[in-house]
Amino acid sequence: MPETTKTVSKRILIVEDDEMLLEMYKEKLKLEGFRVSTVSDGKKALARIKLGADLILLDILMPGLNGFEVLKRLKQNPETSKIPVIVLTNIGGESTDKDKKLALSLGATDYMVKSLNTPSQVVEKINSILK
Amino acid sequence: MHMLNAKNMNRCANCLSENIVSSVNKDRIFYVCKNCGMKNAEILDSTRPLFTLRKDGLVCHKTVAALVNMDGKYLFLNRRQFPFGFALPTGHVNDNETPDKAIERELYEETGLKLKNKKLILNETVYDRCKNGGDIHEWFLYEYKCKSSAFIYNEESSQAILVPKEKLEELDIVTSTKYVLSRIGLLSKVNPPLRPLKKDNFLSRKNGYEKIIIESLPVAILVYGKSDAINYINKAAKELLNNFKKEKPDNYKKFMAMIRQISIKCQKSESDLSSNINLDKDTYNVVANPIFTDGKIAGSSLVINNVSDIAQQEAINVLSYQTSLAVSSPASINQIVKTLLKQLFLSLDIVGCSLMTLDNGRLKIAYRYSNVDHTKRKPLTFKIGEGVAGWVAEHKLPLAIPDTSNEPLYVGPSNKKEKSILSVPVISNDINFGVLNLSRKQDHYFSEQEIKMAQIVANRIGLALENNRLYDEIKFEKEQLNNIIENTGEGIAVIDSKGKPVVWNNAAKNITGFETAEAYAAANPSFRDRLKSMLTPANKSNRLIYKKVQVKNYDNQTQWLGVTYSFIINENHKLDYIIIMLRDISKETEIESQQREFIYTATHELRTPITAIKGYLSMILNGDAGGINKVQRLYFDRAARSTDKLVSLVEDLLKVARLEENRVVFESKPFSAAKLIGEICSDFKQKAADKKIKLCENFDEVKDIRFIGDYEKTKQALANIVDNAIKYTKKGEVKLKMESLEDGGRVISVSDTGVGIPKKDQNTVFNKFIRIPNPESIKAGGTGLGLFIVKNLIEKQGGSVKLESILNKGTKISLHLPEAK
Repeated sequence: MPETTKTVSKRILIVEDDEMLLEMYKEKLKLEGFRVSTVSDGKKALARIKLGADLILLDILMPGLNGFEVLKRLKQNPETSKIPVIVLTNIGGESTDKDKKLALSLGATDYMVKSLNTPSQVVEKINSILK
Repeated sequence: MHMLNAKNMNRCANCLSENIVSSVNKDRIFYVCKNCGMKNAEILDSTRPLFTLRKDGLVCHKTVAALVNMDGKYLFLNRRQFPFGFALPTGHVNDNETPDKAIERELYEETGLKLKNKKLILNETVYDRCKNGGDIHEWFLYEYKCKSSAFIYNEESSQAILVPKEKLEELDIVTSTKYVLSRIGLLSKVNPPLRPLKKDNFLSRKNGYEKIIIESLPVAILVYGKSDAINYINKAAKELLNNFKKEKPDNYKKFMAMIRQISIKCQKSESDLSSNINLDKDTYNVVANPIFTDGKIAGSSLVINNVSDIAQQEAINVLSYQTSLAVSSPASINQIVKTLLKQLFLSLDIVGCSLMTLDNGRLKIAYRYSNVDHTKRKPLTFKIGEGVAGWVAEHKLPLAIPDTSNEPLYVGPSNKKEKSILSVPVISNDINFGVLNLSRKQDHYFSEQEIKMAQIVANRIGLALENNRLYDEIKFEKEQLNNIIENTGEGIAVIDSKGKPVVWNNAAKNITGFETAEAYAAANPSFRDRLKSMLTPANKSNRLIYKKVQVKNYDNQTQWLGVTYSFIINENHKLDYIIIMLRDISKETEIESQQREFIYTATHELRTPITAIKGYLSMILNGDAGGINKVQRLYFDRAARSTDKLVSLVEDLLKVARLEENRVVFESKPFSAAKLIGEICSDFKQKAADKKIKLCENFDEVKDIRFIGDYEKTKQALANIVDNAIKYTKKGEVKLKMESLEDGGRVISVSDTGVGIPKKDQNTVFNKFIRIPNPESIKAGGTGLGLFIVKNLIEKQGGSVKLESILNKGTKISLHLPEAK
C-alpha cells in the first residue's frame, strides 16, 4: 500500500446509493490513501458533511433528495460551499450535455460519467483538483 | 299602291319595274325595261339597299323617294317618276351644308335642275285622267316618263315633295304646300296666314292637287265641318270605318263617337289635339287640326293612324321587362313560373296558358294559369311527337292551330275552351324543358305579336328552369363537399386571407373541444400568432408545414396536436386560404415519451452494473488486488475490452434516443477545420499505429478554412468515420483530406484502403443497426449505429454526408458542412 509521508491524507465523502459501486469506490480510494466516508442518500450527506471533508463525490440519481438539490444546498451554505464537488453519475452524457451544464452551473467542480471512467481515472481527477 | 320591299332585285331605275330583259348588241350588254320601254335602262344596283334606316332618319338610294305615312310605313317610289312623294331629306349632307342646301345640291346633281322660284308644273293630261278619281300613282308609274323633277322643301316639317318639273300646273306652291301639310297633320302650326278659300268647298279644282294627295294617302283623313257633320272622308278612312262596321259594329259606333268628341274639342279650343283611342287591342292615334275660314273656325281635320304596332311593340317591351324581373326575383321556381304564366295571360286575350314539362320523354302539365276550372279534368300527357305539344317538343318550333276541330294533329277532347291553340317550345341552353301552350275560345289566327310574346315568356321560363336546375346542381355538390369535410376524421380548419375562419369541421370541434375556431385561438394565443405570421404577404409558400404543438383544449388540459398547414395561392400569387389539418397526437406523443423515458432509465440502469464490472476489472489490471499472472492478465484484459464494447453500445443507444427526439442542441459557431482534423489525427494516431495503418492528414487548400456548426458533434462524427475506416482496413492507409468541390463547396474526406461496401448496401449503410456482413466487420465489432449517428449529427447542422466505395478497394466518406465566410 502506498504510504503518504508528508501530506495528511485527504478526506473524501462519497455520496452514492448503489451499494456495489459505493464499495468499489471506497476500496479504490482507500487503496490510494484517502480517508473515505460514505453515505447512501442526500439527506445523510448533508448531515455528514458537517463533519467536514476535502472533496465530495456526488451521485445524482438517488432516492429522496437528488444530487442537484444536495449540490445546491452545499453551495448555498457558506460552511460547505468551498468544498470541491465532483458529480459522479450515470445520467447524461459527457461533452456538452445539459446535465453536465446544470451541475457545473450549480457549482460542481467537475462532472464525470461513471461508466465511461475507470476508478483510476476518478482518482486522477481527485488528485488534480486537490493539488 | 306599290310597296317596294327592301330585297335586292333588279329594278328599272326609271319605273322600278322588275320586268327587265337584257340584250346584247355589238358585244355590249344593255337592258330594256319591258314596262316603260326605257332602253339602256339603268338597273338599280341590286347589291345596294334601296333604303337604310339610320338613327337620324331614313336614307334612300338616290333614285328612290320615300313616302312616309303616319303609322310608320314606308312607301318607296321612283323619285324621278313619281310626282307625289314625301321624301325625308335624303342623301348626304356635307359639312357646312344645311339640309335644304343639301337637297338643292342633290337635286342638281341628279337632274341638273335648280329650283326656280319654287314653282311646280303639273302634267295636264295626267291631271285630267285623275280628276275623277283613280290612282294617279299607278298612272304615273306606267305612263309617265319624267326625267327631271323638282323639290318643294318644307322647312317646318322638314319634309319635301318631289314633283316633276315639266308640265305641272302652276301653283302657289308655298302656300298650298303648307295648306296641304297642315291638312295631314304634318304642320303643327300654320304660319303665315293662309290664303282665303272658297266657302266650304276648299276642295275646288284649283285645289285638286290636295285632294289627290289626301285621297291617296294611306292615312285615314276625315274632315268635320262646323256642324259636326263629316264633310270629307278619304279612301283610307272609308276603308278603316268599313272594316269596323263589318267586324265589330259595336266598335264602329264607339269609334265614331270618340272621334266626334275629339273634333268638337278641337274646334272648341281652336287648337291642335293629339290623342289615342284604344279599342280592344288596337290603338289609334288621332291628330286633330282646326280649320279656319276668314279667321273663324270652320271645321277640323282629323288624321287617324293605327299605332297598334307601336302599341304592340310597347306591349312586347313591357312583357319583356316584367318577365325579366320575374326571372331574377328571389322567389321559388314555382312562384316564378306561375308569375310568368300570369303575366302572359294578362298580356294576351287568351283563356289560359300552361307549361308542360318533359319527364322521361313524356310531356306533363306542370303549371297552369287560366280562368277555367281544370281540376275536374284528367291531366293529359303526351309522348314526344304526339299531339300538338308533342310535335312542338319534337321539332322545337312553335305551332299555331287556328281551329282545333279541323286539325288532325290535335289530340284532346273537342273542347270549347280550346278552339285555337298556340304552342311554343321552352328551351334554354340547348336543353328542351317542355312546351308552353296558350288557348283561346274562338278560332283565331295568332298574330306575329302574340307568337312573339309567347316566345318571350317561353324563353324566360326556360331561363328560370335552367337557373333552378343549375342552382340545385351546385347546391347538391356543395352539400356533398360540406358533408365530406364535416365528417372526415381529420380536423380541418380553413382561414381566409384576412384571417377569418371559414371552416371548422366536426372533427376539429371534437379534437379541440372548442365549438369555434375563434374560441380555440382565444385559448391558444400562440396558435393565433403563428397564423398571423403565415398570413403575411411574404409567405408564398407552396410547401406543407408540419408542426407538433402543445395546446390547451376545452377542458384546459394540455394536448399534443400534429398540425399541418398548407397554402392556397391564387393565380396572382396572392394567398387565398390557409388549410389547417389537426390531428390529436397526444397518445402517440405519450407513447413516444414513455419510450424515451424507458431508454433513459434503461441506459441508466445498464450503466450501473457496467460501471462495476469495468471498475473492478480495471482495478485488478491495475494491480490493486495484488499481482496477476500473464494468463489472468490476458483473460481480464479481454473481459475489459468486452465491457468497453458494452459501454459503447449503451452510449450509442443513448445518443440515438436523444437525436431522435431532437433534444440535442446543436451549436452554430465557426470553428477551424485544421483544428478539427488535427485533433482527430492525434486521437487516432495510436490506434492506427497499432494496426500498422498509415494515418495521414492532407490539406490541398489553405489551412484557414472555417466551418460553421457544432465543433464537438462534428468531431464525434468525424471520429466515428475514422474509427470505422481504421476498423475496416487491414492494411494500407486512412487519409484525411480537405477537398474542394466543383461547385465551390468544401468537404472533409476520409479515404481508406479497406474492404469497401458493396453497391447494393451503399444506401442502407447509414440506417440504424446496419452492419454489412463481412469477416472484417465481425472482427471489428461495433453497434451498427455509428454511421446513423454520423448522418444525424452532420445533417442536423445543415451539412451532408456522401459515400463512395469500391469493394475490396476502399471507401471514401465526405462530410460537407456550411462554411464560414
